[in-house]
Amino acid sequence: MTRVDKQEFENTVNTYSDMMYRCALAYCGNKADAEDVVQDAFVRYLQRSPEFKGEAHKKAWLLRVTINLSKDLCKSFWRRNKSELDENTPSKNGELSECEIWSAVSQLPQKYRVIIELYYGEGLTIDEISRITKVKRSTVGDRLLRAKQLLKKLYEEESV
Amino acid sequence: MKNIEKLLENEYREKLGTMKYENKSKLFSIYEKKERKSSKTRTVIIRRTAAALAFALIFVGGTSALAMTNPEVMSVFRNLIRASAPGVELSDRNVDDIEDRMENFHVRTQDVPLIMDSMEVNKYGETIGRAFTTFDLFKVGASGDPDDPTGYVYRYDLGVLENYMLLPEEVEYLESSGLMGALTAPDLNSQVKRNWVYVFDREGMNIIGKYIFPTGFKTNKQLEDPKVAAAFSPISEYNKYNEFVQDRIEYKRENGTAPEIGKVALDPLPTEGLNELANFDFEGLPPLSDDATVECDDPEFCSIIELITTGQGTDTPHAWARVICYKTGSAIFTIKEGDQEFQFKCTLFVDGRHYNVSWERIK
Repeated sequence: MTRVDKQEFENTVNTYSDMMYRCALAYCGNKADAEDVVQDAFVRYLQRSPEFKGEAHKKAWLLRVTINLSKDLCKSFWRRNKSELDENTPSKNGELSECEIWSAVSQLPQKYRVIIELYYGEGLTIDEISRITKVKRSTVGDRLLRAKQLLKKLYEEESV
Repeated sequence: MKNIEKLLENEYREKLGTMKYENKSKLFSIYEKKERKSSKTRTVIIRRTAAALAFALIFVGGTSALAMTNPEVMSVFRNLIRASAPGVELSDRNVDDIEDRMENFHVRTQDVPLIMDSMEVNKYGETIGRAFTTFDLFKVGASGDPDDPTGYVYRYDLGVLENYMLLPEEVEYLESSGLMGALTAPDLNSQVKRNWVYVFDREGMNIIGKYIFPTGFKTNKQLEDPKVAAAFSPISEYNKYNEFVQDRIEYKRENGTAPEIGKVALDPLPTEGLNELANFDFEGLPPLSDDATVECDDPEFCSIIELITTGQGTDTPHAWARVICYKTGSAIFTIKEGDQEFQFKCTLFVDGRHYNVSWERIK
């Protein structure tokens, strides 16, 4: 294990924190939880000081940790036993609802939101998403398609 | 399905590009705390640096936080401020001071021969920077989103990037003058898919041209794909761009006025020499497994990055190919799995100021 120096830490924060935040937001569905997840992910990065084979490896590791921590948070007792305030959800958030497609995506079930974020948001390939989320390649493709169909349905309902 | 695809590729990505993690300063304090535990001697230095950094982050955010703590960078920044607002000095201690001094800063800097649009410093940017070491070239940019008025300044010969916040008046000006969006061209990290920039002259707000990058711009993430990176040459892109800029400057020097930009803006999008990322949908297929393959009959039309299949047993069978198109036009795509074979005619075409795709099953 090598110690993460300050410069490296700053570079990592500057390069990946936005991406991790968007991923956590897609998973958790609200800003406060997403911010907590990103913070915890960086704490883990500092604690573990993992050695990476390259930037792609580092990126995948950080995304994987972000997703794991998001899952943990969503499974937590506190999370399961609290009511969501409307204004905390992306679809109801004034800032985000300006973008129709964003609002529509935020209405999708969690498993679809994450795939949409990684594929369209972060530009990952199906194989990369499969490795990071540990979901079968074909399932990733299926979810992506299903997500697009649901979005289409949402738009059609909207227009009716 | 096509419209959804387009919305996700464009609007969704664009919106995502404006979503930033706002608490980077908090993360730096985490580092500081960790360091304090490991070394008392270093604590004071780190705390001071972190405090300065926290300040910088409040103001600039992102990668420029590093640059703001660099004396050389600060010196460049200070000179820019002096040039743009004589008599005004940059304070690195007060956010309000800095914001005051930022007014109209990005377009009035007389030291700057050329100002072009945004691009985050990164591997790609540095490469371009090296190609421009003989030019005193800056670029500035803004996110283009009034809700996220972030700007950038980058000096190629020093390889320095600065971020700054646009003032509300600046945003208003840019919007009212129709320039919001003009300053928003290729930001490699925001994933905003634009492929053009306005070029300004040294006097400030005089636009001397609008340059459309013929092969489009690729985001960092796209460039991580070896196939995309191999097909895309930033240096040749920027050489073309530079020729365009020099022509425009020459024109203005000889004629006293800038060339008509309306004409430039209306130039049709190129149909060849592209590196356009596209998805072709193969609708109406039976379920396909991961073993399915796809081939394109014209290697000069595109190269295939991946075939995405939705798997066996799904109730909504479907597949699509992610490709890099090198030109507009059509090609035949053949999808095979076992003894099954399907064919689609896929087309890339110019649709106004964008490229669009269509597909039609032929077998």
